[in-house]
Amino acid sequence: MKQAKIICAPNVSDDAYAYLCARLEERFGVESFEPETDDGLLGCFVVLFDGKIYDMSLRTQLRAMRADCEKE
Amino acid sequence: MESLGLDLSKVPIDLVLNLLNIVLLFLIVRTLAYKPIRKFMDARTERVNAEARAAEEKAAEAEKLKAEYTGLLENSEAMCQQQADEARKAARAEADQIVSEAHAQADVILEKARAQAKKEHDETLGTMRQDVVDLAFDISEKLLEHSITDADTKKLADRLIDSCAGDEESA
Repeated sequence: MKQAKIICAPNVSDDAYAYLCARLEERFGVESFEPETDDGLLGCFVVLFDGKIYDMSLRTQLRAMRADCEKE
Repeated sequence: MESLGLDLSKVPIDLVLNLLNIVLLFLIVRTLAYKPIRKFMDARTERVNAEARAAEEKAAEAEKLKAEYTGLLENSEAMCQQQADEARKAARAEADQIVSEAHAQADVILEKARAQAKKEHDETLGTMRQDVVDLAFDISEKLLEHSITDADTKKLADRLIDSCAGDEESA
């Protein structure tokens, strides 16, 4: 049984969470979901699935943008 | 006297005696006074001439010395002038060198100061830039945290699914 762990920011609604779960189930056949909340994400989510981490959180994106700015 | 035809009674005895005195006196004076006096006068004349010659020689020597010393004086003046000119020239050259070195040092100092100012300016600019970036991102975090919507979250979910699908296809 395919399992995915979804770490959400507090501002992610149940509707958005359900949408994500539905997409994962539809595309990859994930059947089990393990939810978790992390205040530090600022927004969006992080998905741990199939031995990989998919970080779509606002925190990570802002950090990436900051790193790009500092490189310039 | 009578054989000669002279009449002694008519000859003036006084005159003869006077003449005889005069001759006798002349002879005596000539012998006793004239020769010594003449000798004295000649000696005096010789002495005067010798002194005149000595004075002339000394005057000539003095002129010679004067000419010699005048020459030496002129030479020393010329030498002093030359030394003064050389000293002035050397002093001018040294002054020019000092000024040139001072300019070079000033240029070096100025260049260092400019480099330091530029470095500090760049560092300050970098620090300010970093501060601005930090502040911008801090503000962005605060704003986005409260402004992100469900639609945004769903879009990211779609992007996640698409990227995962792309990874599978490339694998």
